[in-house]
Amino acid sequence: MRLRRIEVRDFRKLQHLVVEGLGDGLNVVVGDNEAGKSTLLAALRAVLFERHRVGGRAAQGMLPFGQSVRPEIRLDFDLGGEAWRLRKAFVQKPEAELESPRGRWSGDEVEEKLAELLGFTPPGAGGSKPGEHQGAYGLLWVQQGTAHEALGVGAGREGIAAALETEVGQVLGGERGRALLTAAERRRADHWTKLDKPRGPWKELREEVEELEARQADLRRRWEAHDGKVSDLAARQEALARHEREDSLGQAQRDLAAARVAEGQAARLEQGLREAEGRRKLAAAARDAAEGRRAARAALVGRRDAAARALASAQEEAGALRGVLEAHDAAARGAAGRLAEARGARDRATERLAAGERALRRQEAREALGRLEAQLRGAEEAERRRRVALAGAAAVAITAAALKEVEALAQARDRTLARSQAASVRIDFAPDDGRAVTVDGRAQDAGAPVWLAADAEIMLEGFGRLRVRPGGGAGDLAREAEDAGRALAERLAALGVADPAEARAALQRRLACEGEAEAQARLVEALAPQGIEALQAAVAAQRSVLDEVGDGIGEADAAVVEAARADLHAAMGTVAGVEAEAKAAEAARVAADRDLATLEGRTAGLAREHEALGAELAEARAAVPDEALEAALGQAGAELLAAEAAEGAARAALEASDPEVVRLEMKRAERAEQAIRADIDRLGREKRDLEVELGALGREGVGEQLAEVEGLLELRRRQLGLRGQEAAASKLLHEALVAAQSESKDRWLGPVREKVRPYLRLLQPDTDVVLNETTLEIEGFRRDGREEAFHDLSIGAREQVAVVTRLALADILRGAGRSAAVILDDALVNTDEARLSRMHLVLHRAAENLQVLVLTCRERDFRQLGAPLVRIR
Amino acid sequence: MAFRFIHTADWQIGKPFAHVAGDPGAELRSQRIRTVQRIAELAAEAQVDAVLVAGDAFDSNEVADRTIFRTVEALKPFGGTWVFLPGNHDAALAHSVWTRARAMGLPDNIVIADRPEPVDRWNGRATVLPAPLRRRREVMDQTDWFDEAPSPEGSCRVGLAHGSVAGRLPDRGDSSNEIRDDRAERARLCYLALGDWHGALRIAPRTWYAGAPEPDRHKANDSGHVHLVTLDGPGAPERVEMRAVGHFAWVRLEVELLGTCDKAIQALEALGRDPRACVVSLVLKGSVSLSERDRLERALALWEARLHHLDADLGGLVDDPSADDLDALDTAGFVRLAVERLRARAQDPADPEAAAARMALRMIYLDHLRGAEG
Repeated sequence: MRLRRIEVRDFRKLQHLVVEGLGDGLNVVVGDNEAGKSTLLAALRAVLFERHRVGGRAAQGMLPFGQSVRPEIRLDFDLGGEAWRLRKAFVQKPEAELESPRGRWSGDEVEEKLAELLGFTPPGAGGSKPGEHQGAYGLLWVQQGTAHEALGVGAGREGIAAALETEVGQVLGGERGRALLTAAERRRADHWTKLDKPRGPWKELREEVEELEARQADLRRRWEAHDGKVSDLAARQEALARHEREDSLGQAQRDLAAARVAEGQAARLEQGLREAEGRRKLAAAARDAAEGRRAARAALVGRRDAAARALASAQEEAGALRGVLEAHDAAARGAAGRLAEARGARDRATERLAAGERALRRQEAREALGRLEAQLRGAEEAERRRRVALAGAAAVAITAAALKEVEALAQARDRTLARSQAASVRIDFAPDDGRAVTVDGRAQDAGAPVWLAADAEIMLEGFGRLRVRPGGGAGDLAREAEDAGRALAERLAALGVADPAEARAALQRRLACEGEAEAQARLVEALAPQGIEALQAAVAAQRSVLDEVGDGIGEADAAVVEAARADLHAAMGTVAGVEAEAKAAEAARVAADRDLATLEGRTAGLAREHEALGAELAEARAAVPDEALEAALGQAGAELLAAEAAEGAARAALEASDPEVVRLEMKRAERAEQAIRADIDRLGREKRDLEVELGALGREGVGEQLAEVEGLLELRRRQLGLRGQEAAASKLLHEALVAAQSESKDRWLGPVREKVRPYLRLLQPDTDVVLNETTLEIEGFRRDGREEAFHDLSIGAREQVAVVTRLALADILRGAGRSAAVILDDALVNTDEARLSRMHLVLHRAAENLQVLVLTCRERDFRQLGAPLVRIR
Repeated sequence: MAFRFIHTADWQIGKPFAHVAGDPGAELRSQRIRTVQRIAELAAEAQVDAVLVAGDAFDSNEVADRTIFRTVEALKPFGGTWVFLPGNHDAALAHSVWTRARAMGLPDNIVIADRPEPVDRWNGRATVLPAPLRRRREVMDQTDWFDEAPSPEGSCRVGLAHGSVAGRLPDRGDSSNEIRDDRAERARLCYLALGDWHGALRIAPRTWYAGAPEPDRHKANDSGHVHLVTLDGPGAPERVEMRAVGHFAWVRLEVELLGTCDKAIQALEALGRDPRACVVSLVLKGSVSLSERDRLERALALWEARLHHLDADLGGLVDDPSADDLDALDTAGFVRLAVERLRARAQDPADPEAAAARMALRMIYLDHLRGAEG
């Protein structure tokens, strides 16, 4: 497509603009900023791609601000060697017209025809968007300010891919290849997850097989257990049958019966032995009894004989003892006579001595009494005197302290009197003739002065009254002296003395009396240390001693007393000797007498015993004579021998019957019978249990289930095998296709590189563009063999690379018969001058085959481009 | 007076057919009991004296109780004597399908011959001598006792046994449960009724296998019958009629294909029986092109619906993509590249993924065809 003429009316800021004379190759449309270059591009898009009936925001976007007009755009273009005229009016009375030499379309047909001609997808509703609806034009018409961004291939991809395929043929497999790849992907996805794990029916089948295997194993186990139980049951049945066949229980019972018979016989023999033993023991006891009886008889005879012997011996001894007694008796009598004599002599001596001693004691007592009485008298006199003295002392009331007090009072009186007198008026009277003087009514010795301390009225006879009034406190002093005198007088009165001197004499008297009392007390103590009363008692005691001694007679002669004492001593010695003699003789006699009495008692006992034993023996013999005892003993011995022989025979018989064997056999037979019976019971029980258990298992039909599971498992395994093959094949197929496609893609992008390279060479040698084979977006830029990410390039480099790539893609589209104009709206604003001139070469080269419209505000930059300039304003 | 009976064996009730999934499998299972009922009806119709079942009436001793119950129910149309011999599948073990059946309470006309004792229920006309298996595999010939077995004068002696006749059957390496081939003669039998071999067969003088009345495997033998036997008296030759009672035909087809799949389709079309009663095993070998393979698979899908069951084994069928196949895919582009590589691998016998590569080719081919259709 080549654009020829564009006329815009009432579209956005453009009131009316005509761009004409657009050539085949390079065209530069110059307009200042705000002149409406970009609006021109928008108008171009609107007339080609917007539905004329479009409303809403897209329609509003076409109106000038605040105006309600009818935007209208006319476009003349060549396409497929024919001239086309297109007109669209929007918003109000929308209209569309398309004309070519071959026809004319209007209304909605226009949109359909345009879509068909230009190969784009009109929007279903709303405005048309370059990336979605405008096909390759979205890619080739570059809006201001977006040149350095990604290509925005978008809806252009299909067109380019299709164009590339026409260029490189079937490398990519075309639609069909893509469909097959999609199918292979689907097949693979039916079997595998993204992580290459089984999924879907295949996985389910695998799981089913595993589950069936588990069930099979379980059923097989149960089946085998069942089988085992059947064998167990058979074994039990067989064992029971064997018992029955062999009659093992019957045999055991018979053995047991026989053993019981043998055991009975053995028991009887044992009983016989026990009885023989009993009999033997009885015989032995009988013989022992006979022997005992005989021995008892012999013992009785012996005892009687011994008693006779003892009696005789005792009688003889008694005779001898009587003689001894008589001798002792005579001796005792002689001793008693001598003792009486000696005692008489002793008593007389004693009497003499006592008389002598009494005379002596009386004398002593009289002397002592005299002494004591004298002492007592002295003491009593001293005591009397002491009491008199004490009474004297007590009669005097004055004490040393009282005296001291009286003296102090006397001094005080004297002192006050002296002071009073000193202050008082002394009046000395000198009456004529003895005329009387009274003072205050009292007669006054005229010869004696009067000391007046207070007002006084003195009557002077013959004269009259004289009133004296002393001054200067004499009155007070006189009263003080009076008080002191009164105090002294009171104290003296209380002490019962007239004056202090008398008081002093009284105290002297008192002290003398107290000294006398003390001296007498010491005398009393010396005479009667224990006190007078004790002394009085001693005197009384001594008097009683004297009374006791009596008056008596005899001389109090010490020598006589001493002789008497010697006589007594000798007499007492004699008495003691004779007493000892007599005592010994009596003791001997008494002892002999006691011995005799004892012996006589014994003799009498022996005689009684002898008599009793004789009687007993006689009685026994009368009952059983000695001969009978002997005979009985002989018989018992013979019987014992016979019993012993019988016991031996019984023991031999028992031993001969072998009781141990019988016992063991019995035990064996019993156990055998029990064991067989228990075995039969157990087998029967187990058999029943197994039958019950197997019955239950049978209901489940384990064998049938097992066979079913095994069959199903076989089927599923086969299916799983097939599925597995399919899974492997789907994976292999997908991998093969992906690998092949990947390799092919590399070849696919080759043409793009081929087209880009000549442009790039103009710009910068040895460089290359790296495109994404799926999106066809620029991924990077290869310089000197090193690849840089597109977004890492400078803005200038990015816009240059992008423009160059767009030109190359436009070349490819043209090659596929889909030629499209390239419009660059201020696409190289970031390019420096040196590069810009290079880019001019690039544009020239592109314009050899393409129509290129450069919209710019920089006329100067493109003036040298060598292309027609169209100015808009 | 003649003794008439039906000789049958190997019912194998309870066989699961689990490899036939879903309803067709269930149908195969239940058909076996219906076939037993058919035998009972036939016995009633023909007014025979007895039905002798020579072993393996049940598939195993561990079938479910309900299976036993339903089988006994199916016997009802014939009120005469049924003699069941325990075989190797349902051996008379200590606990077996027979002890369980007895425990359920069987009618008097059903005799379980689990002991080697003569069965004489026909007033001296006949004496049946059973040789029950009491283990799954017996080493000794269980029919030995027939020789000395007593029987009333003039009674037809009929042996009933389960196992293989020594040295007579093909494919039998197993030497257990062997029966002497001259047993009939030695034991003076009028007829020796055998079970174990699933096809009908006279294997020795007076010695017969009845075969399974309802076929259960793809084996080309005469199964699906019972024998209606008439014994006119001791010494008289036996008269044996084969009566078809089976419902399903088990067919095995082995076809080798070369390039096209026509022969396989023809073989199916030539079955000549009601396809709904056919259980077909189709084993294909050889090689076909991808386009033919596609055609084959479509045809098989159709036949699968038509037949009672189709088990198609294509394991031996190799894809041989023709130049046309590949050209149809793509003449250029990455698809062609991928296909060439897969093909190279598919043809390389040393490549462990050769089979996967072949299948991958088939897949892409099918995808291509569907793409063309869709």
